[in-house]
Amino acid sequence: MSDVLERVNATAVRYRTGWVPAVVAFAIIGLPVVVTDPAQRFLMGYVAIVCILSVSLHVLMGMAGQFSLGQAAIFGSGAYASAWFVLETGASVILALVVAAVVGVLVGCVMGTVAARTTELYLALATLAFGFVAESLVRNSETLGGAQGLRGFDYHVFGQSLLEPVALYWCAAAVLLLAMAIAASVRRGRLGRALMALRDGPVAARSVGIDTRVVQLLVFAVSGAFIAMAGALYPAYALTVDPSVFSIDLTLVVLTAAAVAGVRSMPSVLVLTIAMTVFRHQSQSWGLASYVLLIYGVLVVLMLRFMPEGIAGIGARITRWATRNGGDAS
Amino acid sequence: MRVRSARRTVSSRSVARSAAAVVIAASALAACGSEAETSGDEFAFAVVVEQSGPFAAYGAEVVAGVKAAVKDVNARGDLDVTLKPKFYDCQSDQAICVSQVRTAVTADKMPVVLGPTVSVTTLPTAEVTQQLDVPHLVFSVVPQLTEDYTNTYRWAASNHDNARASVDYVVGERKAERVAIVHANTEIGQAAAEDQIAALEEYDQKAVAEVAHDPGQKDYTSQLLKLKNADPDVILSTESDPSDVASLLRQSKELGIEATWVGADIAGATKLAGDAATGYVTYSPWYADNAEDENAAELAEKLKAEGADNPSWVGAVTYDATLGLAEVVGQGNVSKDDIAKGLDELADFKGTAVPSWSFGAKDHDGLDSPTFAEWDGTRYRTVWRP
Repeated sequence: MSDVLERVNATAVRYRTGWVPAVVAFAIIGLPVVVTDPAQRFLMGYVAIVCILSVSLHVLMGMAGQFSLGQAAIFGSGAYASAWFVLETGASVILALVVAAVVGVLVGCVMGTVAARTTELYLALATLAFGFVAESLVRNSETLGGAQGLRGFDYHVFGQSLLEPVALYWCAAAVLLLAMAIAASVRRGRLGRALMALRDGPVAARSVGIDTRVVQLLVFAVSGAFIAMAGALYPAYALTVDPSVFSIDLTLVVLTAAAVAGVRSMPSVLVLTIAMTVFRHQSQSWGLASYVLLIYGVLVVLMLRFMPEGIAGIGARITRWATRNGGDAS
Repeated sequence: MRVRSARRTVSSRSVARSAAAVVIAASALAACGSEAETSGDEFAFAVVVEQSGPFAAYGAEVVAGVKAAVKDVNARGDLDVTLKPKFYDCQSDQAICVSQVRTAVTADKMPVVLGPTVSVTTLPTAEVTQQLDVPHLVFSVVPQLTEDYTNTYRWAASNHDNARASVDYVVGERKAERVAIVHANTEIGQAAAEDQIAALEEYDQKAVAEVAHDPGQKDYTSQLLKLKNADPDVILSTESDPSDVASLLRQSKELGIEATWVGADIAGATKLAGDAATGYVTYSPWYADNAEDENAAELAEKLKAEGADNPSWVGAVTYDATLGLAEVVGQGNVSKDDIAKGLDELADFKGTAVPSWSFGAKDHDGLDSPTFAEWDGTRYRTVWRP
């Protein structure tokens, strides 16, 4: 009897969610048709790039509880790796993404090694230092263009230049979907459970046989690959890559989105990242350009004070409230 | 088996929910278009500047320069059209600057772009305007802006020209024999120091000391002791941050260094340095309080009236750039191609801040050398104009 009920329930779930992928696919394809202005199309590509960063943050902080400020270092490394590779070889952006991912994994592993020896505040500071080191190295490297950075690269995929905003959008959307799929897959697998165990209690995790150092290394490597791929696409949007790409500004925007949304929920983080990125770019239309960072700051303070779980926590609160009231009634 | 199936369902629901969330939020973009705002009797142009964020002080100068010039030109009424600038705040962020320039050109159909001000935001926007084939009026001193792009018109002297002129002044004019160089580890600082070393070599001289420091450094003792040991007549500085200039001047005085400091005019630096700035020689296209420039006081007042609290050369050259654009538009050039052609032919244009600006089809640097002036504790006094 219970088997039958479970099968019926599973069918119902599939029925309820079955239309979602179709609508999503239709919308992703339809978005560039609806949005015709090239500037807005470029912005769509940029939003997708920032979303890839958010997914990596969700994996690193939401699943594994590793508070890192080193995203800028990996993002910049990916940007430089891809731009240099494309300039030197003229290869397709797909190869550049692979190169950037490898660089991201390597830098992530180095960070993971450091993470295994530090905790919390020291981990944040140690990862933040990576950005400063990377910026300094790049600024003094003639091969990487020194302080002026690199320009004049031709990003292309399947013969289509990424100067065409729709091509950039497709590329970024594809990488984003890949990152989302991998993040969801990690979440449901052994690694995901190990990550959550690491997040919720490292000592307890070790006591049940989880090698937390290996897990930390893995999560930094996986999120490093995502971040570096986002960085790899950034030069196609900005058309230049210079040491300012190691700036912590972008990391802070994504961290703000994570704090407000609730970093454990991938949909919430993505929605907030999109909303905040679009808001910042359009803020002048509403006369708020000078107050964007102020608004972000106030949002973070308010959320941490009143809703530490973020917007994603609202659903859980409602569920808890309904359960409690329902329980009382019965 | 059932567990695996259930997990798979949960996973696909999670991806589907995330993807749906992404798409719904991204769809909001479709509603965020802009409209062109030019009508027949108006000439609209884009001013993309850092009105907020860390470079907002420069952005305020540009805004003031454009507004003051537009007010004067429109009040004169000798153009067939009314100038109408549209300001885009790029929040001192590279990605937003790029986005705003794209919006200005593709959505708002602006035929010409002014700004932004600093090299880190100007270089990527120059890539965009080059690809969109739109003339671009810039103020940053980075040489690559006019060397690597054909659509940019610099309303300032380039870093190359400034560095060469500073050596010409120090060695050619002041006959200094022992020259030291100080620079920040920034793109402008490093490039300027290299140019100065090259220019010194042309005078068969070598810098007696070359000292680098981090931008925003607080204690310069180690660098200044190195300079003191080298015993220079003149110290060439390529700083671009007022607090760096002020700290160097103050700490140099405290350590008893008697060499004359020569560096770029950075707004607010002399005020921050106080008495230590007396005798400091700077190079700049324009000085707000230059006793020997009859236009300076009036232009400074105009810039102040438009919101530039401490007017500097950035606002002044922007004023001239806007007048120059008006001159080109006044000749009937309102399309992007015609404006570019008009700017190419803008020779010996009499500005208010700078006596003469000259461009050519192959020379997009409007100014070849700055003016040198010495700070006497209250105001500047011109000491050399090449």
